Amino acid sequence: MLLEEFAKLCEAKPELSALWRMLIKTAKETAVAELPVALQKYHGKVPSPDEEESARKMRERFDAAIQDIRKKCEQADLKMPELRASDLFIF
Amino acid sequence: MERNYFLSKEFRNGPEWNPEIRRSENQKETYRASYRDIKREAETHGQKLPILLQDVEAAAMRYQETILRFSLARKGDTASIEESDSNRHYAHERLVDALNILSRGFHGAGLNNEWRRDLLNREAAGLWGTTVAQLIYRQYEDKRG
Repeated sequence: MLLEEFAKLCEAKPELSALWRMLIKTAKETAVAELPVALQKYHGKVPSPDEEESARKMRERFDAAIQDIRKKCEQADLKMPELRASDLFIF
Repeated sequence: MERNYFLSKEFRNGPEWNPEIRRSENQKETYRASYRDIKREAETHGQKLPILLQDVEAAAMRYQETILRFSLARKGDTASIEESDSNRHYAHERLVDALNILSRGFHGAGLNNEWRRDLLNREAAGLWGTTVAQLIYRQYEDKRG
């Protein structure tokens, strides 16, 4: 299933819409924390320990939000596409 | 008095806000290809251009970050919305400046800088920047698995 189709489905289903909105919010917060780390690594530099720690904590929250929605999808027998923060933060 | 849409109830209570959602997949691919061409040219012509390109990449990532912060502040207080909107504008200006400097660097090195013409429109420059930021961020996510 395409991400756009999945997004529409989540927004339309009452049991998924709140989890979907939380996932989008968490994806944005995760990206805010990880973008500086991603840039440093892209330029071959070492991010500061504080930046790394902040990114790690947000990634844990993002992974937990993914797990929450995955469980609901499994209960609803719904196939979930791969969800990455870099895809989700545009929603 | 001019009405600030970003402080209105329609904006705060409306659907998720993000200008990137207006991009088509074709447009994104065009911008990705443009960035790859610029990067290849910059990295094969001297030491100065790769540094100027890094400034553009940093400005693009910062612009993307301010867009996300603005989107997250949407339901916050007026001061937060105004501050994040101001940061977003400043980051966009910084991105345009960095693109201009890189373009002059290309011209000075005798390279084709026609790509800058395609990004003269402010919105196009911003969307190009967020496409580049998304590309760099996706690469980071892919590497960490």
